[in-house]
Amino acid sequence: MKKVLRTLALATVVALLFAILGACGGTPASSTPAADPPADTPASTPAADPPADDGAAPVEITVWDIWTAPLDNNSTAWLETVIPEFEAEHPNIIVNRESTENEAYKTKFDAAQAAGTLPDVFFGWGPASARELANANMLLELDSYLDSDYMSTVQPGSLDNFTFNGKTYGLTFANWAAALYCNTELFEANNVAIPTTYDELLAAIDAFNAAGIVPIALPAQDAWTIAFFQHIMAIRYTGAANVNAMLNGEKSFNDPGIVQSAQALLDLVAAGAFDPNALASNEADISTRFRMGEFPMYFLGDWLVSGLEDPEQSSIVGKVQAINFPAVGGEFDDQILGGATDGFMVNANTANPDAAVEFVKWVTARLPQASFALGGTIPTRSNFNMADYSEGLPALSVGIAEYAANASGATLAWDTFLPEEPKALMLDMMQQLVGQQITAEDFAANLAQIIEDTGYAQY
Amino acid sequence: MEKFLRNKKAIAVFSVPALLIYIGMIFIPIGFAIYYSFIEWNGRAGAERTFIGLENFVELFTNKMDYFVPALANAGILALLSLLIQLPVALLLALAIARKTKGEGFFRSVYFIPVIISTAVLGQLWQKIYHAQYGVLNDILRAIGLESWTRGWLADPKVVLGAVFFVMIWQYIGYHMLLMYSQMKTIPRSLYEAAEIDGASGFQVATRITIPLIKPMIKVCVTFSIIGCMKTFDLVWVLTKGGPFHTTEVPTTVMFDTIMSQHRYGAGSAMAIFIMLVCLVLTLLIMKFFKAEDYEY
Repeated sequence: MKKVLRTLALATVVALLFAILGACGGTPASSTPAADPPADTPASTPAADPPADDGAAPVEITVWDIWTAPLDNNSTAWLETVIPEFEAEHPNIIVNRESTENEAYKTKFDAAQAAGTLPDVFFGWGPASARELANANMLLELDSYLDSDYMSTVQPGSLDNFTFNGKTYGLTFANWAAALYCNTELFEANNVAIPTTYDELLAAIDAFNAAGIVPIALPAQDAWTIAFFQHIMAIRYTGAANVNAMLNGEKSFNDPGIVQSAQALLDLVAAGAFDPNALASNEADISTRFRMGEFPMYFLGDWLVSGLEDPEQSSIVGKVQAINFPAVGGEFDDQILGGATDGFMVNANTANPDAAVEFVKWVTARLPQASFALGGTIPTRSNFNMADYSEGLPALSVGIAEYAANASGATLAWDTFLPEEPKALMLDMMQQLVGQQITAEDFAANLAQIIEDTGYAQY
Repeated sequence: MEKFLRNKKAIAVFSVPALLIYIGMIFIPIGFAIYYSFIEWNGRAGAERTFIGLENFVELFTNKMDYFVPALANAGILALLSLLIQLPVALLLALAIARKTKGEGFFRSVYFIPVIISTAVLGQLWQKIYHAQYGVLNDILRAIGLESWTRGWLADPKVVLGAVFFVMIWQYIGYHMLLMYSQMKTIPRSLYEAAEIDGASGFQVATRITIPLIKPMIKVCVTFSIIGCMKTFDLVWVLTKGGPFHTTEVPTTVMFDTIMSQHRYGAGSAMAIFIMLVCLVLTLLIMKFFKAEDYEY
């Protein structure tokens, strides 16, 4: 009897082991063509661009992206349109795709770049991380693959954030833009006009405070959300071109326009624009509360749109207007905070550079069209005509896309651009500005100082 | 079978796999961390690694922007609070329930629950409790008429440290209580009976018999408590991310930010090694202080 029990126990353990090992396989979402391409059949499917490897042996490329499930416009377009179409038109390029959710992707990406195990093609946010990878010679230069035909389809300036020392290391597919989301229900209920100028914004803040409502939502624990206000005011006062020059280390941050922008943030805090306890809240919390209709205004990126339009997440569907940050009466009032920061890069050590670059070029052209058709994400294509897609799109997306497309200049969020130490100091100082613990002059001076100290300055 | 287990060679052979895993998972990464702490590196495989000797360690104390020294101070305060509040409370609770009180099993489980709840969940829970507008804490204060005491518990730099530390102390009281309680259970009843016959009061029994006999476990609790305070991360990170204005930074949150956000692997590794050394030194000091004696019954 004992022997029987022992054998049974052993068998159970072995079976469990096999089950665990099987489950732990961790197979990436590998996609193979529906049928194995015979070696001597030429590419028969008509394609917009001829496949790079014509009837040659199939090559495999590994691709890392952040779209695990069709949850929003980008992921749905990627999973349901872009990848299947690429595979159909490129039967001899086998795409081994590994998707990881956004936040987990950052960790995975960090670990891979430290270990040198990046795949052939990977998604990334330029320019801060891309710049360091380029400097470490880990990215493939793409210039030799970008002929004038290709470049004519790309929005001018949209590759700047992946261009270092005159060489291009990544391709972008979409622009993001910051928008001032206004809860029209709260505005109407309190008889406040949607602000189009900075003075009107201050008046709106006063009106909401008088009604006992916190005017602007601010997840100050995530300091980059505070920075948005200072960034857009810097654009308003001194123009995107100037700010971009400073971000590139070509000009000093110790500039009257920067001082003015920090002062504007201090003024907003003094006017009671934000919750006095904003420093205890993070972005996930505040975004949810905005969607529940708690705040009249929220200044964040266009990625909020899909959540605002989703009845399961938002109780203010159709009651939101998204506008560019109010004007100050200067020449830069149409400029935006935003730009092309999402992109794909190719590993310098890839075994199949032609296939990898072909993939990147193809998807960065196809994804934005497919994604915009589902709502939002302004493509970085110069031949993109928004009118073709505007019908059936949520008004929010169209509104943002319109003012973004007509902007005469843009800067990215500084924390995605600056090198590590200046970025850390900048974010620290943002929280100090909200706490009114630092002057605007010191903000500009300290930032300029650290840029010079870390050797990033070129002036 | 016994002959087999006593055979030293057999023991060695069977320990090798576990030993290899241990070396691979623990010692080799520590070795790498020590190596990284002597270089300057930005975490990209192809990037330059410059050897800078002990500069990273010196910078721990000279680089004010890292807030490492204030973080150490916070960890020290936390350790002190643990010794003065957490352990005594745990001891009192253990004494209270070790006397075959009614519901002994129930209280034992209830006090232990915070220990087994994931710290991330606890962080979320207390974030909601401490919320300035919707939080239960402010609601209770308003209800009992102490409106003036309400505040943004996690936003006000003056109270945030206390608020965070309260949760950390509270979480592990049950853990230390359980350790001490289990040791108390090993004390033979005959000692208590003898004391009762001699007419000792409850207080005398506790101070003259129970506490001295659980000294080895108290030593263990003190060690875990202090080391835990040096290493604590998740609760602080979920509640405040080290803010506002770096007031609630602890060494591990500074290290995490330095490596993950700022990609300064050299400085971050130096912090990690420093934390490890501090824990080692503290453990040795505690051992020396307690000079454990084993009691034979």
